[in-house]
Amino acid sequence: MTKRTLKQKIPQAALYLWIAFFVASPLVLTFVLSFFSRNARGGFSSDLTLHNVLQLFDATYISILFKSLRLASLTAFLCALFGFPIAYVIATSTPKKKLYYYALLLIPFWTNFIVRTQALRQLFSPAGLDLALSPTVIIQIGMLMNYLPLFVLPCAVAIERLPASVWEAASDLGARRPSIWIKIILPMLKKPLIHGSLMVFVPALGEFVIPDILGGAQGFYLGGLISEQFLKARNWPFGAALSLLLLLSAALIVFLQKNNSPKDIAGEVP
Amino acid sequence: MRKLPQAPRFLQLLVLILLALPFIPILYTLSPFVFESGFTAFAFKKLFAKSELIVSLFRSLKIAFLSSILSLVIAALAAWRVEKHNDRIVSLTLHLSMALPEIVLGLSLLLSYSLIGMNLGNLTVALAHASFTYAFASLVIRSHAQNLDPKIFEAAKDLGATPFQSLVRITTPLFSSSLVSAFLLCMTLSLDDYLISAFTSGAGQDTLPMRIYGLLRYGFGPELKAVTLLLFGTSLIFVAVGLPLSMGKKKN
Amino acid sequence: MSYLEVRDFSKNFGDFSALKEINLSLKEGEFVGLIGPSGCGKTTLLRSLAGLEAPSSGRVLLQGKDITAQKARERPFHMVFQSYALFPHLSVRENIAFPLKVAKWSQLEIETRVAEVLDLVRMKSFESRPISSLSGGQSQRVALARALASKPQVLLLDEPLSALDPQLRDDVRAELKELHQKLKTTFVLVTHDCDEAFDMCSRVFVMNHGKIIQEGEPEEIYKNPKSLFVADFLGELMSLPLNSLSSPAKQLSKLRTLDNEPDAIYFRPEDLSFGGEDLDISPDDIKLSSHICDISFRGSHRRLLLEIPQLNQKVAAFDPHIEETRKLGDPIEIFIDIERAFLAHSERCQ
Repeated sequence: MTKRTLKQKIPQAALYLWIAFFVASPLVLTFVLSFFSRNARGGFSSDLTLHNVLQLFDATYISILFKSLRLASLTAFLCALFGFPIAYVIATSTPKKKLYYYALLLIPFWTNFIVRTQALRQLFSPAGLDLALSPTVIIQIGMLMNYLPLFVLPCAVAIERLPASVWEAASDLGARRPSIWIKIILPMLKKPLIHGSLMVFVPALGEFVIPDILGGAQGFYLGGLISEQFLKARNWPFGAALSLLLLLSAALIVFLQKNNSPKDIAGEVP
Repeated sequence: MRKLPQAPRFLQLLVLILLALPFIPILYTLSPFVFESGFTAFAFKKLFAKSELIVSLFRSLKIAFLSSILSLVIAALAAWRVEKHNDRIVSLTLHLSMALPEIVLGLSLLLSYSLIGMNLGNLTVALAHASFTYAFASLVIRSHAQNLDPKIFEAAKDLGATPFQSLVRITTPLFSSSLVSAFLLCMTLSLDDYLISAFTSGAGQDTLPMRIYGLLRYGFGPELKAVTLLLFGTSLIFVAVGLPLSMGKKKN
Repeated sequence: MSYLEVRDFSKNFGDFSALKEINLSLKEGEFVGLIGPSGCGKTTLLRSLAGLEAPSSGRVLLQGKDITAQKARERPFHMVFQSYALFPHLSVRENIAFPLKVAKWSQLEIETRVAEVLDLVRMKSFESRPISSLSGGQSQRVALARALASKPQVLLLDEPLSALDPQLRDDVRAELKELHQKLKTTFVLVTHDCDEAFDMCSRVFVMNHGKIIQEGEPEEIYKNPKSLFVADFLGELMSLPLNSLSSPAKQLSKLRTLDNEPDAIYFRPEDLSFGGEDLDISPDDIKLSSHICDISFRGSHRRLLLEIPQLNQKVAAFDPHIEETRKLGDPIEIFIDIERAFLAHSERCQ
C-alpha cells in the first residue's frame, strides 16, 4: 500500500514543483516586486514602498488602462459576433466540409503572427489599398483576425455537443426558428460563449505586438507600457505594479462573469 | 449522433468569405513572387545572405522541440492528476496558466530566473514556453481522456498488467493521437511566441519571431517575404498532408 | 472446504460504508449470483474480489490462502466489465492476447490459446477486426474471451447482459450457462435482474445496504424469503391488511410469519387461484370475492387485475387458460394459497 502511494507521490511531487516554480512563484514575485523601490542603476532594492502602486492612479496610466480595456472588450465582442456564425456553420456541417473549414481557419493561424500582422499593415499602407483607415480601426481588425480562432474552436466544440433532440423537441413543441434560438439554443450555449469571449479578452488585454506593428505611436497600450518598463526604462518595480494591475483587471472581469452566469444553465452540456 | 440542422446556404457562404479574408494580406504580401519576374531568386538570395535569420529559425525550432517535449510530460501529469485524482489545485493552475496574460508570465519568469541566478539562453526560453503551452496540451489530452471508458485501465490491471506494462501497452498507444496533436499545438504556440521569448532569452539569442520583429523596423524586405512564403507554404503542406490523413482515419 | 472465502469484509468510502462485514464462501466450479437493488454494494463486492478495491477490514481467502494483499493483477480472477472495457486501439486478437502477453506467454502458446477462446465464444471470423467495428453482442463475447484467455480460477461478471438488446440477452444467458458447464470455472455474476440470476446461478446472495441478507438456491429463497425486502425484491408481491380480512384466527395461524407483529398478508400473483375450476384449492385457503377490472394477454397466460370491493383494493393474478372464457367485469372468487402466502409487518420492507 505504501509502496503504491509512493510511486504516485513522485510524479505528483514533480508536477507540484513545476507549478510552484513556473506558475506560483513568478506571480508571487511580481506581487512582491510591485512594492520594491527602483535604484539608480536600473535595478531594484528591497526597500518597501507604495510609490509604484500609487503611480498607477496617475491619469496617464488610468487612461492607458481604459484604452486597453476597451480594445480587449471590443475584440472579445467582435470575435463573438463573427465567431459564433463561423462556429455554428463548422459544427453543423458534414465531416468532410468541416475539415475544409478548419483548414481555412488554421492556415493563416499557423503562419507566424508577426508576419501575418505585418502583411495586414502592408495591405492597409498607402502603397497598398490605401483606405485611409485610422490606426485604431486597423489595430482592431488585426486583433480580430488574430484572436478569432481562440473563440471559434471552443465554441464549435460546444455547439457540436448540443444534442439534436433539443432542437427537435423545441420544433416539435411548435417553437419557431428565432424563438428556438433565443429561448433554447443560446441559453444552453451561454457558458461556452462566455468562456470563449474570456479566452479572447484576457490575452487581448495584455497584447503588445499587434498594436505596436499596426498602430505605431497610436498603438501604445498596457502591454506596451509594461514591456517598456522592463526592456527599455529599466523600472522593474513599476513594470511589476503595472502587470499586477493587468492581472487584477483580467481577474476581476473573469470573476464578475463567473458570478453572473448561473451554474445550472447548460452548466454541464454533455 | 444527430446534430443541429445545417446552417442555411447564405450563412455558409458568408462564413466561407469571412474565413478567406485573412488570406488576403498574406497573399498580397506574397504577390511579388508571382507578378515580379526574378523576385523569387532575389528574395531567397537575400534570405540566405542574412545568416542570422536562418540561425534564429533553427534556434526557434530547437526551442520549440525541447519545450514541446517537456510540455507534453507536464501536461500528461497534470491531466492524470485532474482526471484520475480530481486534483483541484492542478485544475485551478491549468485555468490560471491559460488566463495569464503572456506579458505577465514573461516578466515574472524573468524575475524568477534572475532571482535564482539562471543564465538566460535557449533553455530558459524553452522552459518559459513549456510553462504556458502545457496548459493547452493538457486540455487536448484531458478532452481525449474524458471520452474514454475509465474501466479500460482497470481492465488492464485486472488482466495482470503491471503499471509499467499498462503505461506502455495501453495508456501511451491509446493517447498517441492526442499526444501528437498536443505536440503539434505546443510547437505552433512556441514557434509563434514573441513576448515570452523576448523576456526570457539571452542577449543575441533571438528566436525567429524576435528576429523578424527586429527586421521589421527596416521595412518588409524581400528576405522577410521569403520567410513568409516558407511559413505559409509549410502550413499549407501540413494541411494538405494532414487533411487526407485525418479524413482517412474518420472513415475507418 | 470452501474454494473462495470472504471473511468479515468491510469497505468504507469516507463516511459511507459500502460493504458491512460481508461473509461468503463459494465452492469450486459454482455459478453464483450477487443480486440487489442499485447501490446495495454488489458491484463493490465484485470489485473487491477482483482486487480493484482494497478492503477497509476483512480478508479474502482462495483455497485457504490469504490473498487480501494481492493486487488485481496478481489475482487469478478476471472480470467481464459492464461496459466491456475493450482496448479500442487493439484488434480482437490483440485484446484477447493482452493478458497472455503481459504474463509473458510464448508467441506460439498465445496463438493457440487465442484461437481456442475465440472458438469458445464463436468469434473465430472476427479475429483481426478492430474493436470499433463490433456490435454490442460481439464486444461482449470478446470481453468474455479476453477474461477467460489466461484460464482464471474465478470469472467475475459485472452486469454482463445489461447493455444488450432484450432478444440477445436470452441467447447470451444460455451461452453463459453452457460455457460454465464446459469450463467448470467458478463464475460470480452481479445483476439487479432476479430473473437472470435465477436462470443462470445455482446459488444467489441477496444484498441490501452493504450486507448479504439472504443466500441460498434460487427456488429456496424465492419460496422462503427471510424478510419482506427479499420477497419484494424477488418478484411481484401484493398485500392485504389483516384487519380487513374476515378469516378466522385459526386459519391465519397456519400461515408462515416473518416477524412478531404481522399486520398484513402477503402473496404473489401465482399464489391466487380461482373458484369454480381450480382443483388444488385447500379448504383452508382464504376466500375473497372480486370482479375483473383488467385483462392483459401475456402469451403463455393472461394477467388479470381483480378488484376486491369489500377491501377496496386491487390484486393481480395469472390465468393459465388462454381461451377467452373470462371477460371484463365478470365476478370471480379468488383463493389465496395458505401454503405459500405469509404474514409480515407492513412497515418492515427494509
